[in-house]
Amino acid sequence: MVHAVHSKEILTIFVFYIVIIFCVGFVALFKTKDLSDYILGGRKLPAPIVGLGAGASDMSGWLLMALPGAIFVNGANYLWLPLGLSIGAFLNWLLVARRLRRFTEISNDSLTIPSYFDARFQDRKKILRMVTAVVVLVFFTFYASAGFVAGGILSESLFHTSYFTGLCISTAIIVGYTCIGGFLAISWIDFFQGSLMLVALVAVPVVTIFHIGGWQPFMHHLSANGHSYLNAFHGISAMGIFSLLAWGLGYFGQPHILVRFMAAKSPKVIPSAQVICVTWMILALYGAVFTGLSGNAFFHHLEKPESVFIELAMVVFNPWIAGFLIAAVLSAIMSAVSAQLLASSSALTEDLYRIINPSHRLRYKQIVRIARLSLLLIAVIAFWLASRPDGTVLKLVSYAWAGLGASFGPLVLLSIYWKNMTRDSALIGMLVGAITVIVWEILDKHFGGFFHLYSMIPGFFLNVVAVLLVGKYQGNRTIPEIAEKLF
Amino acid sequence: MTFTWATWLILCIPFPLLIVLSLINCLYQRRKDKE
Repeated sequence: MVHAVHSKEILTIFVFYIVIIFCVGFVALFKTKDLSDYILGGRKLPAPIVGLGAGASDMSGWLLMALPGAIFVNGANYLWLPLGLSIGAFLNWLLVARRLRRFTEISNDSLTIPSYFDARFQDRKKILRMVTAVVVLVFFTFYASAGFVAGGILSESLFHTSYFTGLCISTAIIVGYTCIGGFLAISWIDFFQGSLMLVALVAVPVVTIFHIGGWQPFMHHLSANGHSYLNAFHGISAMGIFSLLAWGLGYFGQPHILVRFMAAKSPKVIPSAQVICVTWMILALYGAVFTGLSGNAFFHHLEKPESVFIELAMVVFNPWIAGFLIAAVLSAIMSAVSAQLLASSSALTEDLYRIINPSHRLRYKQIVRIARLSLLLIAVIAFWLASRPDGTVLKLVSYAWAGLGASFGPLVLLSIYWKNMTRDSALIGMLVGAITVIVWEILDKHFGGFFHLYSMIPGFFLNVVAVLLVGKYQGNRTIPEIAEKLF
Repeated sequence: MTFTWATWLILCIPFPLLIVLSLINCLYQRRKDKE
């Protein structure tokens, strides 16, 4: 357990850290002049902010809690998950980022993924846009609630507050600064938070291995778990490996990551941002893997394996430095949840409210006020879900990741490479992807066996098949002006 | 005792390779953009 004697130092660092974050929020508030600024930072972000922001908002608290915990317990056979994620993120940057940045600007300067689909497929009835927004809202509300729960647990284990008090504090902080500063604030803060997370994830395992006595003693301690602990192929089936690798497919359909590409100041900065993000991500994943392994060598057994990073930071570092390192956990939770909340509020404002009420000619201040109210509304629902945790937080994250990836991934990919893709094929593909994930998870719960396969795999591929089949059935329906402008 | 050879392969090849491929892509795109 974390020593209560260190709580004061950690609390001081946390308060200092939160004050800085709110200062950044207020600076961003003065720089936010219209809805494009609030939702997309006015499309003027440089490569480092885009790259680190995409990485930090993607890697939620699980990078510092769940992944080291899983490696701590399972050993090397969990390496397939970081491998799948790295490949997925790399391909997302390579195949999607540059084109999506260009396409969204040409397509009526779309600010959100639903509005991009709307412009790309010239959907006059706005059905595709509204259905997309609803799917975004459903999955992101669950996603954000999982982040709130992680914040509550962090406060509970560090400061010995009740879970509910911790939940209230973490929710108030995250919602507060996202509401104030919008996209500009979270982009700047993500840059800072991403740097902090990387330093923490490199420092903790390196210092722990030194603490143990170097590489050989570290390996010697690990081998006490048996040879299979250090074997990536032991204790895992082929289906298990595919399921872990399949997490990478989710990247193509995560709106809170895709908006980072759209916010780049030009398509030309994307390759540099890719180098920054991929390098950051791989170093951070190495750090998380070795945090789990070095934690196992150091402690051998922990009551809560997910707190291995926190426990190590407390034991091997001075409490003040440990405070900064543990602030990285808070950073990871905050950057992911704030990005998800903002993407949800954009969907509610841009893609539902403004479409349902087209006659409302609103001024900028009114629109941003509606965006902030939407954010509050989603946060209240997520808070309500988080206030009754039933031990399925990580399951919810995997569910939301699969739902978003399987619903939007194939649509994003095909819409930027296949000019004959139609609105109907996109709509049917999205529904097939979302419904497959929901049904598959129910089947897994009741029957297990083959249905243990990660729902992302059937959802993603059935979505692709549906889009291709409907597209083929409808024949060549290329929209000349779109084909001319985009391809 | 240490990692098995397969684990070493997973740890040492694909991750650094992705960084190298990103760098190559970046240099290639920059050259293409200049042209």
